[in-house]
Amino acid sequence: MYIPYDILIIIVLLLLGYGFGQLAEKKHYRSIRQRESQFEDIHVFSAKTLPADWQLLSTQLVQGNVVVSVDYFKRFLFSLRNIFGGRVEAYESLIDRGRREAVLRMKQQANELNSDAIFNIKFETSAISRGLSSGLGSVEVFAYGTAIKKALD
Amino acid sequence: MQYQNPKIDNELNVVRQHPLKTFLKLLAMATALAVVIIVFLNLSTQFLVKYIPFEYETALADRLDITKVEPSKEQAYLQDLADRIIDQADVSANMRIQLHYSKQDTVNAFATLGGNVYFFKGLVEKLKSEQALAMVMAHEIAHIVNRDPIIALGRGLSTAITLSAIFGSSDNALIRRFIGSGETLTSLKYSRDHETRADGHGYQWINKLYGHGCGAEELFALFERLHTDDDSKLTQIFVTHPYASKRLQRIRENQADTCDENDSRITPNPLYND
Repeated sequence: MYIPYDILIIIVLLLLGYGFGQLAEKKHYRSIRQRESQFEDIHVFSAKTLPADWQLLSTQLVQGNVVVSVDYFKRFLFSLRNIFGGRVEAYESLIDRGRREAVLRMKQQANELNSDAIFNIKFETSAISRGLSSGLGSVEVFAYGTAIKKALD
Repeated sequence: MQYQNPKIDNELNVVRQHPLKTFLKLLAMATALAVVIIVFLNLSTQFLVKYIPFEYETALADRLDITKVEPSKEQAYLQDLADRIIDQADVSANMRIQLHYSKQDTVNAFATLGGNVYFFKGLVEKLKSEQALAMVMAHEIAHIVNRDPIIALGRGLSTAITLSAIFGSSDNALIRRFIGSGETLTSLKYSRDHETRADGHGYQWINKLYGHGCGAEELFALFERLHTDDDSKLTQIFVTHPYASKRLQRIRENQADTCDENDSRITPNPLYND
């Protein structure tokens, strides 16, 4: 019997991508939520200046960096979306995970420094492509800010 | 002043719809789109092909390195047979048949771009009569006269391009499947209609050339025999030439006068060696 191996490979890759991708995403979100509540006390501000009543003890640059890869299934979904338009849900969650993870890593560093809050936080996002034809390979998210330690009131 | 980062319970950035549902919906839409485009393009190739000059086809074949001829006495004999048959067809003078003879044992013969017809030793030596050989030849020549190779190529290309445009150029497997390498040129897929039409024309020309159609049916008898033998040598010709028995039946019905196996009008095949 004739078996179309090339088509079979695509189907297997899709199944693998879907299975492992979903598993990894679920696991990642669980971990994100858990750590978000863990570092709840370290407040994050986008403001550049401190509130007037804060006494500053020390400042320190903190940063968090993460690279998340897109799986075969998500990429296929993306290429289909390209035709009809609309929300690319598959990539939205990818970016969401990247941002939150980067903030968490930054917070973790601040936590190790016994900081109280992080000010002036910024994001950098870049795509790491594996070459033009394959499109978006993985996404890098970099979060950084100034961790501050407060003098006791 | 007290600050707090509020907890956001509602995961706004995470879509609730199951990704498989989205996937299936999009896949169905894309498939429907592909089918519509492919059907349209395939139908238009049949219509547009008469506007492609045969010279274009020849020029294309020249670039594909399928035109090199290795002279031999078998090649000369078969070329002469081809020339006699093409004379029966009402075609313009620029449509010439270039015959190639291969010493491989494959039971096959095929027609491809630019009037190039390939015959394999495996098939040539299995046929007792020249008429059966001429029937294969006429069938393959009919493909060329009907422009089937360029139609098949056009269909393959348009299908491949549509699929790659819709399903993303990253999935090269799909493209290779339809365009492939040079290999595809030797196994251009003709539709069943094309095969039936080629049989009809071929048989007509045989009748014109010999004044009778006796001996032609030997070819289809061979197909049937090989089919039931489950011979490993069964190749393309039988895969793409379905319903050998139906064709055999049609040939027999078309025979105006009866002729038996040892009919005196049947010319022996000088290359027969089985």
